[in-house]
Amino acid sequence: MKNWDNQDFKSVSLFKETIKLAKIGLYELDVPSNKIYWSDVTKQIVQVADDFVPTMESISPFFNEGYYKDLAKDAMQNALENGDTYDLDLEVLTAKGNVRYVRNVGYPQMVNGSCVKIVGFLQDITERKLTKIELTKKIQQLSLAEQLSQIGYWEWDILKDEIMWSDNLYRIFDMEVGTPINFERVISAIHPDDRQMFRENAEEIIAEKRFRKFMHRIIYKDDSIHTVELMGELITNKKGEVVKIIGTTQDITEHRMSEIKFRGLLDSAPDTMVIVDQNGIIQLINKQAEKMFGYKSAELIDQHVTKLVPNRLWDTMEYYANAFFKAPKHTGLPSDLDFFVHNKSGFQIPVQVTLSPLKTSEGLLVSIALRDMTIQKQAAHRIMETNKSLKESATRLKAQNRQLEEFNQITSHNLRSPVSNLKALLDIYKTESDAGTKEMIIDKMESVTNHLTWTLDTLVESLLIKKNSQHSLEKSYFEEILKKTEEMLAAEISKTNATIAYDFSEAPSAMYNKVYLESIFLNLISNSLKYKAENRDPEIFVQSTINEGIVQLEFRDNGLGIDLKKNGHKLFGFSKVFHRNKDAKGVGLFLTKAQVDAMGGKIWATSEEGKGTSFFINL
Amino acid sequence: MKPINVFVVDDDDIYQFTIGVTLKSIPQVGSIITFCNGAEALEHILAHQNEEDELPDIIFLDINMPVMDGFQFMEEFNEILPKLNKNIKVYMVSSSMDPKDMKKAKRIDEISDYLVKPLNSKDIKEILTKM
Repeated sequence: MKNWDNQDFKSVSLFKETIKLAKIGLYELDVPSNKIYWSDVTKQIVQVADDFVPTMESISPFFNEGYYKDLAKDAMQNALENGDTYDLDLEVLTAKGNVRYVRNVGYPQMVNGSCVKIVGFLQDITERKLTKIELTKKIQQLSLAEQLSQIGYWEWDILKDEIMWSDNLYRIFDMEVGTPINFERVISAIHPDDRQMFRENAEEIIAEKRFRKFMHRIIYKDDSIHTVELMGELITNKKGEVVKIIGTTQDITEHRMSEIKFRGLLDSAPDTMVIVDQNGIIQLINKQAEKMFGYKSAELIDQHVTKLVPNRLWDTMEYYANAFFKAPKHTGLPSDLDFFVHNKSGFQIPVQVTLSPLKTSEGLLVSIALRDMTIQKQAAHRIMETNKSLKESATRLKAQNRQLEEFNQITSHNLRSPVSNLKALLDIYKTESDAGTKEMIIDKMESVTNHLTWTLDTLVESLLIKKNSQHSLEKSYFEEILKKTEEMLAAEISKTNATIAYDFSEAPSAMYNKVYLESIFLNLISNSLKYKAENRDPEIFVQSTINEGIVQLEFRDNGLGIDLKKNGHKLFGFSKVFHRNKDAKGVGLFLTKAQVDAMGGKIWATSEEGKGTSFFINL
Repeated sequence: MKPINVFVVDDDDIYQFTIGVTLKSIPQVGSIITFCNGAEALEHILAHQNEEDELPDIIFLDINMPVMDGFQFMEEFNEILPKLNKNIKVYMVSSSMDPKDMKKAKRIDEISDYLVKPLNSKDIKEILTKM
């Protein structure tokens, strides 16, 4: 440095102007005289009047007691004793009480090993200093924010493969701050299972020129695994090539852990869980939901929940959704609602629905729990079916029991009776001596034997009916059968002067065993002719109707009628006759009932003595 | 000793024949009247309720008959019995060995016994000598 004098400064006005503009104030200390010179700018910086006379005493108050005063004193002492130059940033307290930052540079001039003069300058650096302090504060805040939010900042210069990391990013990566970083170094810090994915993501981002956030894991020195999420932006050159990527890396381990915990909870739930927002957009589903619906989670997230519900139930769904959002609370939809969802292939599944509010930082969500009711429904159905078939079996058993009883009665009476007659006849025959009487007894035996044969034949016939019922179903037209019956009974009809009317318009035909149907018509109509009222010609009306899907036949006559209170229970019994009629054998109705029963139908009668009888048959 | 009047109520003509032969061989038996069903027998009793000699001492009653069977007859008969100035014994006679019929007959006090066909002359003689 040139050996200069303050006189030099004073004489050169341009220099003076320059230093004034730069806010540089000069000072000089004449050591032997302790005299101090301050330039105008110096006085301005310290905010003293122009006529201020600086002395060692008068300038002392400008130095704040403490760190800066000590710093200045030490520097001054070194300059005076050893001739050391100094360059200090100091804080000064101006005459007006303001704090200012100044740069104080001093050059001691040594003569024969002792200091004779110190020339120096002060530069007001308050603004710069404040900016710097502000910046430091900001950096500290940023760093704190980074640390608090577990975010690190990075810049990747792709061309040079240089990566700049913020301090906190080093901490996030569990690495020493300042370690040089490039792409491969980053790779090596990543969890081995995620490295390939990281590479692919990086390549994709550069190729597609679009940054999609993604996650990877890092293994710490203590073997703990951390999950981070990357977000970034691309910087391209004029040619549009990606040259730089800047972004942040956030440690989301805790967040992720709670998410994983929540997911775990969700997945461990036995029910299908679908979480939707207030607009019905699916936010999250569990494993059971993937199973039930046949969609992957990614196929459903961000889709509307109607995707899972058949159109016909959208109104129902909306109704319950509205009710839920009016007062969000745990709500089970009525179990008899019969609600269905449909899966990817369109198959409908009966479900029991429960809605629960889920308060999250992103607002109120609805957690929809669905329980597959297929098995319950099937079970219920099966129970119903079983019940029905039990009832049917009970009815069948009852019918079989009745048939057995009937058969029992037939054997105990209708078979025993001729046999006992034979025995009685035989006893008399043995003791009888008259040849004529003996001859008569033989005749009677013959008649009994014929009767017995006939009884046995009828019984066998009825047993065959019961056994062979289901065979040979064919479409049988009632009109055709009635005509045939009339032909067979032509003689009786003309003898009794009977009229037979019919109406088969509602059900002209039925699938039935035609032979049985003919027999039923023949038996019932011949009964009506046989048991006609004495005082009037028989009027017979045959009608077919459909009752709850079952074809019903009605045979109505104006004949004698039967007292059903007395005889109803044995109306269809074997060898039951209710009238003093010589032709009555009492097997017609017995066989008719056997036929109807065998076909799974039902026969019953209503009657009034003296008015007539109606027989009804459910085919 | 007064001869015993017997009613046979049965629709089976062979039985009517055989029991008729048996009854005729027993000296105590007076008149034998046969009916084809309960209704006919009842009609006869009602028609002669004040003529003691026309009324039976004993009735052999079948169960299974057309028009009015044995049990239906008993219902009607029990109603008119107090009006009759005669002790009439009723024997139910059937070829049925159905326990239901037997039980039903036992429950009716006016029925002295339940007899299963065929009846042999020895049984009938025993019953008549008890009278």
